[in-house]
Formats: sequence, C-alpha cells, structure tokens
Amino acid sequence: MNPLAQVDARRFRLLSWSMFTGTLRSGPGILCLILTLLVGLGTAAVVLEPMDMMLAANERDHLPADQAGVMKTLVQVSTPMVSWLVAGHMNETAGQKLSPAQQADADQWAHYLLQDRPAPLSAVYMILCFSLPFLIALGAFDQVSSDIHAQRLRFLLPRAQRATIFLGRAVGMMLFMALLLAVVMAIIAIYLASNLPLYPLGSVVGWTVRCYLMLVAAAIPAVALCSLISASVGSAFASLALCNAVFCVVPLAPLVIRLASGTTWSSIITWLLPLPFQLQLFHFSLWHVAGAIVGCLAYAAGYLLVGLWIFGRRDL
Amino acid sequence: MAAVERPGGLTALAVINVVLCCIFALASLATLVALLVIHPVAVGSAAEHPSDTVVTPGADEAPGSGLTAPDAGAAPGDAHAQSPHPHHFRHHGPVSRAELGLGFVDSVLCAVLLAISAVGYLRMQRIAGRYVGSLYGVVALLFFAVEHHISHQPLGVTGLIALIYPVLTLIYVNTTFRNDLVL
Repeated sequence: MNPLAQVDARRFRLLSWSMFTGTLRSGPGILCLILTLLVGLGTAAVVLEPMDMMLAANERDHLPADQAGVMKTLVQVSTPMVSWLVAGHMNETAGQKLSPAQQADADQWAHYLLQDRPAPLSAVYMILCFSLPFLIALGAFDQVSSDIHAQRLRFLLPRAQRATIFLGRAVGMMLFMALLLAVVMAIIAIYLASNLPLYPLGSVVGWTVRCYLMLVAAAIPAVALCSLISASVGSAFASLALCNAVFCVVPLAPLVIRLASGTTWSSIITWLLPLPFQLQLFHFSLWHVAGAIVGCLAYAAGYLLVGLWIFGRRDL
Repeated sequence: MAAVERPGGLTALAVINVVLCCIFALASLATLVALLVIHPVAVGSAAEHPSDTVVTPGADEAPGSGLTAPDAGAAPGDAHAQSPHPHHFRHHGPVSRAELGLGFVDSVLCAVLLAISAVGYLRMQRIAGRYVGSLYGVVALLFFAVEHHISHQPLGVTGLIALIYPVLTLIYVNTTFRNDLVL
C-alpha cells in the first residue's frame, strides 16, 4: 500500500504546526536559532568589516569616503578567489583538469556573483549555504528519536498514521528553518541596504529573495536526512552525533582518500548528499539553478521515502 | 499534584544565561583592573608628558580602551619607543574613564540580572524569570545604545551580534514562555 495515501491532511497540518511551535520552545531549537543568527551575522561581519576598515582608513587619511571605489577594490581582489573556488568545484566533480570552456564558464560565474549581483551578499549567502547542514543538524536531530526511545509515540498512534506523524514533523522542521533563514537574511539585507548604499534597493531585495529560495532548497534535503537518521536511531544523542558525522564525513572523505591514495573514484561518496550540485544554486544560468533545485528536492524525497519506510516498520 | 514540566527551551536559556553571566563577571573584573590600575598610570604619565596627551581624531586607537598604539614614527631599533609602556600611549582622558566606568557597571549589572533570571527560568518564576529576564534585555539594550553614543562609533554587524541575546530574551520571556513563567 502506498504510505503517502495514509496521510491525513488535517492531522498532517496539526502535527506540522505542533512541531514548528515545539521546536521554537525546545532547547535544540533555541540553540539552533541562536547559532544560526550568530553564524549568519558573523559571516556578514567577516565580509563587511574589511570594507568598513578601508572606509575608516580613508577617513583617517582625510581621503573622500569612496564606497564604490572600496567595493571595486574588494571585488577585484576576490574575483580570482571565487573563480578558483568555482573552478575547483567543477574540477572535483569532473575528476579532471578544466577545459578552456569550463574555465571561461568559471570566470563568467565569478563575474556574475561579484559584479552583476551585490558581491557582499553573494559571499555571505554562499558561506551560509555550506554551513547550513551543521546548523540544521543541531535543530533537526530529534524529530522522532527521543519519542521512540521513551515510547511516547504509542499514545499518538491511535489518532494518526505513522506516515502522517513522520512527514508532519519533517515539514514542521522545514518551516522552522525557512523562518529562521528569512530572519537572518532579512537582517543582513536591511543592514547592507541601510549602511552601505552601494547597490540599488531592488537589486539587494531581489538577490536576497532569490538566494532565500535557493537556501531553502538547500536546507530541505538536510532536514529530510535528519528525519531519516532520527527515525533510524532510537536515541537523541546518537541521532545528533550521526547527523553531524554524516555532514562532516561525506564532504571530507573523498578529499582524504584522494590525498592518501591518489584515486579519483572517491568523489562518488559526495553524491550521498546533494553536494555536487549545491553550488549550482548560485549559477548564472537559470537552467542550472532549476536543475539544482529539482535535484535538491529529489534528494529530499528520497531521504523522506527511506525514512518513512524505516519508521513504518520499526517498533515504537 | 503533578509537577509542572519545564520546557526544554527554558533550561537552554538558563544554561546560556549562566555562561554569559560568567563571561560578564570576568569582563567586569578586567574592566575594574583597567579602571583602577592602567587608567591612573596612563593619566599620570600623560600629565608628565603633555605631548602624549594630544588626541588625534581617528588615530590608531584600541577600541574601548581609550589608549592608542605606540608612536608609529619611532625608529625600529629604539627598544624604549617600541615597549608597550604607558608613556607611549596617547590618552583620551575623561571620555575613556567614562567608557570604562560604564563598561564596568554594564558588566556587573548584566551578570547579576543574568544570574537571577537563570534561577528564575529554572524555577519557572514570574518575577525572577520573566520580569528580571525582561529587565536584563532592556538594560543590555540601553547600555548598548549609550556606549555607542559615547564612543561615536557607527553600528556595525558586530554590534548587531551583541544585540541577538537581549532581543531574543525579551521576545522569548514575553511571548513563547510567558505562560510558563508563572510560579
């Protein structure tokens, strides 16, 4: 029988809302909230402080406060670095050296992120995208595991199907992360628009909204993977450890294996997570972005189906 | 009567309060040392060497300390000029004393309020938890505003980070945990 057919829409909404509000009141939820704010604003500080320092230095030397000039200098300095980062990503995916066409694509990509779009926002949101799984793991590790451990779910089972409980909680956690990302990104965008009026307001708002959708797309598979691990492990602590271990080991393992043995097959491991195309969310081509979003949603669906299969068969 | 179960979030807030309380206590000690030991020495040396008291707007200044870096124009081989002796710091005078004093009062007050509200969260008390927690949020925001007004520094992203916990405390104790802090 199709497990999704068992989902009761009304109870699904109730359980999602209950998970959303419960996470706001829970210890892991509050820690996740505070750490996400700290990481988001900390990243923004790291990116924007050099600019403030250069402006202060100009002021000290009695030079005009040329914000546009300062930004141009920073973009010039950081363009090769971003190009290298993007090219390195392509190289890692392909497992071979870049062709001239790929290098040109990387340069165009760096130009798009740093010159066509607000460069500080691109930098902050890209860093946030890569630190997101670790932050999500802190908030989403205990969706069902402690209830399985304490055998509390048996009181809920007479009223709701297992699929409703599992999916309802996963969606509630996704809503929580979406709200959290909205708050962090709104603060950063408002700060940039009000304190450093280098870019038109429409450009800042438009890029923030687009990056928000991309970060939510990147967050959904991470939450789904936490749901899968939480349903598989009947202990909150083990679930937390496993979630963080997966998010740490999967990106690092291929690098370590490649350095140790010189083989390139290890890059297959990265396909356990949607890492190979996560960066494509920031690509200049809308086709690449659409493909990356579809890929992220497909991974999330896969994790949720496996989690549902495990949750539907385990002893609660 | 069944015991009322404390939400996990209140326990988390109490733990964070205790950690921040320790940090503020250490900060208050450091500020006190700066106020009682470093500041009078710097003032004394400034009186002996009036040329060092010249305040250059925007000079290489250690933020919040009221002291500036040693003279940049000193010869590299001049060990006396390179030593971090107070003679070689420029001094702001009354402004830095006010900043230090304000920082000390801020640290002590925040540490005390955080400690009381941590106990209040754990016991789910209205006065020690909700009211003192709210008072901490308001006091922290007020001191932040006053310190920025005195130091004439623009509000940077780092400043926003300092506002996260007071604002979250105000929101949480007056909305999410309002009906839990009632004992």
